[in-house]
Amino acid sequence: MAASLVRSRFIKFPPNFLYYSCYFTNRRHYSAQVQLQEEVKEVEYPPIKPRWPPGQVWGELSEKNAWKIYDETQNIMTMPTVEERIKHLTSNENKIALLRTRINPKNLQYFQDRTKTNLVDGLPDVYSSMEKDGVLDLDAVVTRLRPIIIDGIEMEHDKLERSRLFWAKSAKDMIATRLLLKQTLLPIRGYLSGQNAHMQRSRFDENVRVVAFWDKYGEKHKRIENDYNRNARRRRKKDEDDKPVMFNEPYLYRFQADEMVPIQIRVENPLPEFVPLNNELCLGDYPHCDYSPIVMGFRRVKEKQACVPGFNLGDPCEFGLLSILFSNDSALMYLKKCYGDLQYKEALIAYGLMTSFIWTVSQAHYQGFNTFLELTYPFTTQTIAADGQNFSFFAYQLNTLHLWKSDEANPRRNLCWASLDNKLYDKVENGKVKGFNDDVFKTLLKFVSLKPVDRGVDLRPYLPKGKPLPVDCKEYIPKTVEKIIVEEKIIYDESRSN
Amino acid sequence: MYVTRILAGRSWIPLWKRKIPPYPVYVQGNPQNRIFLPMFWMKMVKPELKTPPDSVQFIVHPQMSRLDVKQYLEKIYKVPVLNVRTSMRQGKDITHPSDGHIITREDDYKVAFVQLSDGQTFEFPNIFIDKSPDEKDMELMHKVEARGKKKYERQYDRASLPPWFR
Repeated sequence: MAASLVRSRFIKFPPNFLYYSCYFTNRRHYSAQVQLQEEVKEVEYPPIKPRWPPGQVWGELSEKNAWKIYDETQNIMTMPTVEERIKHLTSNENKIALLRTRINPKNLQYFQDRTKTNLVDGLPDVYSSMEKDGVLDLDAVVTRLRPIIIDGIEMEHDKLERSRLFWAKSAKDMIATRLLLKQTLLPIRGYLSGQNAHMQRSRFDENVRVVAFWDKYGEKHKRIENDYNRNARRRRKKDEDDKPVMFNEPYLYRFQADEMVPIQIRVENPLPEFVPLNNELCLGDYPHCDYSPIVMGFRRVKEKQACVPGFNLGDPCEFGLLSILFSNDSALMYLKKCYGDLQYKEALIAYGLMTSFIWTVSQAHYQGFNTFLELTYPFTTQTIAADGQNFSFFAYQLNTLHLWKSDEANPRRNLCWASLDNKLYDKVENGKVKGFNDDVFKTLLKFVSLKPVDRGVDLRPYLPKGKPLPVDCKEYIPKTVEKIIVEEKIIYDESRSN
Repeated sequence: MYVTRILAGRSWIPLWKRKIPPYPVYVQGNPQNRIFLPMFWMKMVKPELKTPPDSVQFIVHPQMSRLDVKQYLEKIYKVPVLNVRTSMRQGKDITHPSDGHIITREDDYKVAFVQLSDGQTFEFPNIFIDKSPDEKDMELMHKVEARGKKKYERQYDRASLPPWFR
């Protein structure tokens, strides 16, 4: 024991050992003699490349990383199925920034920057043109449905008593709004499905989890390490070269957001595009709020990455028609109580914006697009945030998924229309609805009855053509494993034995 | 920063680092106690990251909560506050000057990010005067000289050779 201690004291190297190591190494010896080498006839050079990969404008990316991305896109193009692509993109277990709505105040501008969206007041022109074209005879539908819906609202308010059923106030409110909204929605859906074939074949879901991830370009931030594990940092430095591109660049972040959507309706074909891609709105400026997610109150954590649009692969209804949120959600009401009415309004817009963005991105992933493969046609959805009385309408159009490019390289932006504070009725007095607003009811009807269109473009351009799509697949359960037993004669080498 | 880890065995700790004595539990009907001079303190610091104009960063007493920070600013300094977030940070390592191993750490500290309301903005003032261009040039020159010196020291045994062959 003592001997080992003594030895260790003598052999211990100083910390700056590498600096002094030059004194201990062997000296070099020089001579004029030159060793002759045999000449190699076939000289091998690396293949000649152009400086930048072809096909795209790369912006502020370095050449090395642009080539890396170019190689990855071609690698993904070879993958035949959507499952493989998503699995490949989510395979790395690095830190990502988790964005959560309805938590902090003053976050709307940040969400707009991260998702690259322009906010537009009012609603797109599709809804105003629906009346002129005479697709729906709105007045006839309103006269038919108005008494039914008023009756439903009155019943939910007065005639049914469920105060004893739920102890917590927040749960009581949420369930009350769910029932109230169902009372307004289901008669509309039932009545319109007689006239429209697409409504008949639509799917109605409740409590759907929607998750999506994306990569965003931003300014260079210093990364502050708040974790208490120092050894992890040293290990990370070593592995930095092996990382994929998105995590090696200091100004590229991977974001993820997930929401629980109370009610969703899906249809077979995509909705019509609200604005063509050449429009000025799609190329306009958007609000910049380029800060690190740590500054805005979010965390960079090791979370399992996922892409979930709320249905399985192979579902016949792969496109979103409508998603309905609760504007008197418990988190939102807490935010209203702490920070006031103005912050509540901002948070409500952010809630509608983010859910529609997440849903469209995850739908695009299921059609074969992703962060590397850019959209060839815009994805559109509609959302409604309501508590039964107050309705706020959102319409969203996803134009790009190339958010990792700088703004000059990719001029496209996403779009979100919003109109808030539409009251369906003024109040309920003595068990009767007063001041029923027909204009709000008409917009609700238009949202539900917007017809999906055959756009005349290839919906899945990046998926292989020959193989059957998951929609057409009939045999979901794989066949049982068959055991094949092969019997062969063993022939011995007799000459050896002798 | 003063290191209390070394002083852990001793009795004396500076007043601003001491633990805050517990506030007596209030029972209905008892007389309410009031603290006029709490042991709280807040130190404004320059943020390490780029921050929005309505945010201010502090290092505070680690026992202060978010509500404490908010009330401290609103009631004493009359500054409107929208939101406060806090997080604990680890202190830096203190290494042995020659041996290089870690002896202790500096104390952990709490950082408070304050969001101002009513459209108020704050910019951290530039306390130190900027260096003149001549001074910057001199600094760069010293750096280059030092680098050359190091290179020369490394090649001391080949000093007799001309620099091309070293």
